Amino acid sequence: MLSLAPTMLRPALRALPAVLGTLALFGASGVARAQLTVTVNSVEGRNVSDRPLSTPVLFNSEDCAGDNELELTIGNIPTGTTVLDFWRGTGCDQVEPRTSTTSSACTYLFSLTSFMTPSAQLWNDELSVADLGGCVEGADNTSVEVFILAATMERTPEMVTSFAQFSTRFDLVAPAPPTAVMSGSGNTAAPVSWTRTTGTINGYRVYVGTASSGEGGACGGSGLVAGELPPAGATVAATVSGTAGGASLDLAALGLAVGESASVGVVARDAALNEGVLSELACVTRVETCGYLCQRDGEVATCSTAARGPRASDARAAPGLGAAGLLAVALLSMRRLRRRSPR
Amino acid sequence: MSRPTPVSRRTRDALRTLVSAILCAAALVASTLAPGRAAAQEGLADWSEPTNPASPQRFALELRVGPYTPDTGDPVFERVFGGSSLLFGAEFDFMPLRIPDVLSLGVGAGFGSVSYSGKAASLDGTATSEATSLSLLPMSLLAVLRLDALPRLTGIPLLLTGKFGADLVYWSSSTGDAQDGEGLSPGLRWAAQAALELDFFEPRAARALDDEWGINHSFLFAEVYGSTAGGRSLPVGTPFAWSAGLGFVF
Repeated sequence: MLSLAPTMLRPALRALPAVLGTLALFGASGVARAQLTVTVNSVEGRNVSDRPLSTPVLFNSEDCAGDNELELTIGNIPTGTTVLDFWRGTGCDQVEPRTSTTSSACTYLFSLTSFMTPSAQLWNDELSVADLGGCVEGADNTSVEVFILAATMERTPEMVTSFAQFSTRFDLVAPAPPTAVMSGSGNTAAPVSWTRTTGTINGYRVYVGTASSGEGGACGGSGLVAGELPPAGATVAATVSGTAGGASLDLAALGLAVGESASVGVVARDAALNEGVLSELACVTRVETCGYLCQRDGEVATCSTAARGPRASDARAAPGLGAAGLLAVALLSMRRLRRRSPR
Repeated sequence: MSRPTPVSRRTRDALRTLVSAILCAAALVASTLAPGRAAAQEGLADWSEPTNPASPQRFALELRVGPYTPDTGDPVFERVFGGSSLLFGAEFDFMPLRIPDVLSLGVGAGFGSVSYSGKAASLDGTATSEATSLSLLPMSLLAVLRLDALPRLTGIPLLLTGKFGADLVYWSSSTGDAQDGEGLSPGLRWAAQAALELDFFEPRAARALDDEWGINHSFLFAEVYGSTAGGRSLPVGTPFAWSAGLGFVF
């Protein structure tokens, strides 16, 4: 009898840390363990300089298109952990939803059994954005919580040694396009203005389509169609952030020759950088312009772009330098006159 | 002597406050520019009781602003730029010849800046979105005669100044990001100025400013002037314009 006691106690002792961890995890008193740490390193196909991976990680329709993988780093994995279980949904921090065969509130995703402690990296076809379950048509800032449970034995909730969760949001609803799009003409630059879209807007993009791009558009063929998404490969002429209501287009950079026109359309971008459909199209035209001197002299020929020299930017500093010089001379003179003398 | 009415007292108080603010601002600017001197004066117990004689006065500095429209002799300027813009300027006078309490005579150098912006037209005359601009940098060298007999002899705080000399205006015009032209327009310039000496309102503060920084007098002025700047270059002068500003004699 006595000889059997160590044999019976050994599994219980081995499971003790996990039990304590479980107690801490679920709010009972016990030995507190450091939580797992979760860092989202990248989302396949995403330019993180445009869309940082700040918490909660925001996914848009572009992320949901295709099978874009998430790369995660999980840290603080307790020694002895043999499995990392991934769940999504609500209430996954409770045992019951995870063990329920009927509940869909907490959905099992997959388990990771091959990793090194205390840090594991997750990528390459192990977890995609679509796996998180938020890529549902019409999702508008839908929250999805992801739970990661570390355990000493596979799929045994009682053996949980630590846990973590991270929040995601899915926004697949593109903003409405701006209205009252207007554009002008010029030789070097032309403005495009619009009435801002209501709601939370991150910025706008101005697309340009020239006649050779296809049919349709305010200036004839352009490849852009109002009310539709910009075609793949469409030229982005300007990207403005915030609540800007206009942009200036560099006509030469767009490849427009004098006398040529191009259709422009504007799309709004929301916080998740979902791009909406194109606004009504406007037309920009590159024309030869005649400034003040040209109009005064009536010498149309002097208005040609080739006749113009570089801008005299140095002259802009002259007023400031002159005023500073005058002030300096005045102050120097004033200091010299500090010597007292009768009036 | 009748007591001042409450309204006139309020008006006078407001005026005194304004003058004090200007004088204090001048002192603050001066002390900021020379913190060492300001620190050295911190031990003075009563700044309002200066004991030093007045410092000599040989210079004047005027800071001015006013609307300016060059008389270009054609309707294009009005059509393109729509009218006047504010001209900001400064003038430094050296007054070596002085009859105490009567007048000062010397030379002044002035500098200013004003720019205009409008829309260029296409060659067929229709308006475009491209900006066209004209910038003027007037510079002048003037003989200056300043009469201060009125405030010194009669107590009326009015300075009268006349100026006459050469004007030279640098101008440049651009359309889009390209410069269309630039040049220098010479001419003659005249000016007549009436100034309200602020010492009258706060004599002790004005005296303290002199003690501390050698600023003898400060004044608000209005000036009318004209220029024939143009010659064979772009005519950018005007027969009549006005400006107003703040001046210091030191």
